[in-house]
Amino acid sequence: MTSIEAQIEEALTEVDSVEPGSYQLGTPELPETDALQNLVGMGTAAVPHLLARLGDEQPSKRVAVIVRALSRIGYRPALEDVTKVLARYERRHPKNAWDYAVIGQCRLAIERLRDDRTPAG
Amino acid sequence: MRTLIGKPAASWQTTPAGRAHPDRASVSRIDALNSIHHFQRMLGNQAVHRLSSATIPVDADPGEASPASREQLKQDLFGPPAVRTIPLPEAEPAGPMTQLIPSSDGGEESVLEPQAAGGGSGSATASGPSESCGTPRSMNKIVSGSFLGGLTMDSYFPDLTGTGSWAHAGTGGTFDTGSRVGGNVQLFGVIPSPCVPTQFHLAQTASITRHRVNGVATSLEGTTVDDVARSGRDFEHAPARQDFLGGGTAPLGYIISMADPPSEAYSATRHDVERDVDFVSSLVGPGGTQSVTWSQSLRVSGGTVTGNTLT
Repeated sequence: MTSIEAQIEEALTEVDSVEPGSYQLGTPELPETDALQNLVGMGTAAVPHLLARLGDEQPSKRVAVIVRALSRIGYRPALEDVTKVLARYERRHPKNAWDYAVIGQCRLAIERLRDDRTPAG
Repeated sequence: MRTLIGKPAASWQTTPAGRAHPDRASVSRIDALNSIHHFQRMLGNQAVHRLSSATIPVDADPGEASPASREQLKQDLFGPPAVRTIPLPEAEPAGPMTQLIPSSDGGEESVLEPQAAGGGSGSATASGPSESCGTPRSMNKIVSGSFLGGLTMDSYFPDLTGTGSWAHAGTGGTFDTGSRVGGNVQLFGVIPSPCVPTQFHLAQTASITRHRVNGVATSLEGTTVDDVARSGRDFEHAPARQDFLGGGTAPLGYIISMADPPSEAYSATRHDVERDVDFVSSLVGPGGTQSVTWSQSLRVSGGTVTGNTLT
């Protein structure tokens, strides 16, 4: 495991233990944690590793945080992956509150990344 | 400890649909039909349909609208007075209305308070007749008392049933579960029943004027967010959207509803929370929008709830 992979894993492990504080329309609001800030702070170097962690095996809370981090990093090539995640979670049945949080974060990320000026590819 | 402050007296509040503004040539005819239009706004298209078979000559001269014909019209619309008694004003007031309507607690009457001017975003700008299928008739909130349609929070959020996300699921108002403080709100818009419901959709924005946790402002403070998009939920279909026909305890018409239980968790580590949010909930039609505003203010200090209002 590379250094950046280890940092990402450490941040996501921290995310696992954080409970949300705010709830709106039945969906938990992602807490502003140091873990999220650290992921965003890694910048585009973290993107391939974050994208690799968007798979089904990840807990929904982690996926929601990863999508938010990708959105804040603002790397437009991530748009395709985020769109696929959105489709996958929309198909889920039944959904839990964190599944809805993933969908919400994907919608916001897609809107933001579409407006992003980072060159594609 | 739980503190309740300033609960509203009304069971539900509404923004009235915008009125048509007739041209000068038709003013006298509109005056003659004044009471009919008033009934139409109150009762919707069911009343319009009944009018079509009424025996009253609705194109009579304004001066010929006698008390006898008015009484006959009441009976055509409502049936014999012994069956249903709803006080009917003799003339439509020019300003904001306070009307008597069937209430949600069955048979009694509640005051229907229109949203203050400016409160209904876009509602006053809708053009065309108020009973068209372009603009919803009204948008309303229930922040106290029973939800309409026999619905509960479990109806809207079945995935959260039993998770401690709210209390008193079938009624509006504040709650404190011991670890979560917040409030239940039912939001519902009314459209004329013959309109196509899928042409209308629900929307909600939240302006977070204050959001501090343990004394530190969060990134949400000072922002306005698209609540519906952020929630990830599908408010165009059940369960998050619940449609039902009005009547009985609900306004007449076709009703499109949603609910919201906004809340904050509190604990030994999240011991001081301040949250002030202004919401705008809307029903958006193809030709216009009706909105209703509501607000939530929460305070937790030293792990104790010191303020919780929903207005």
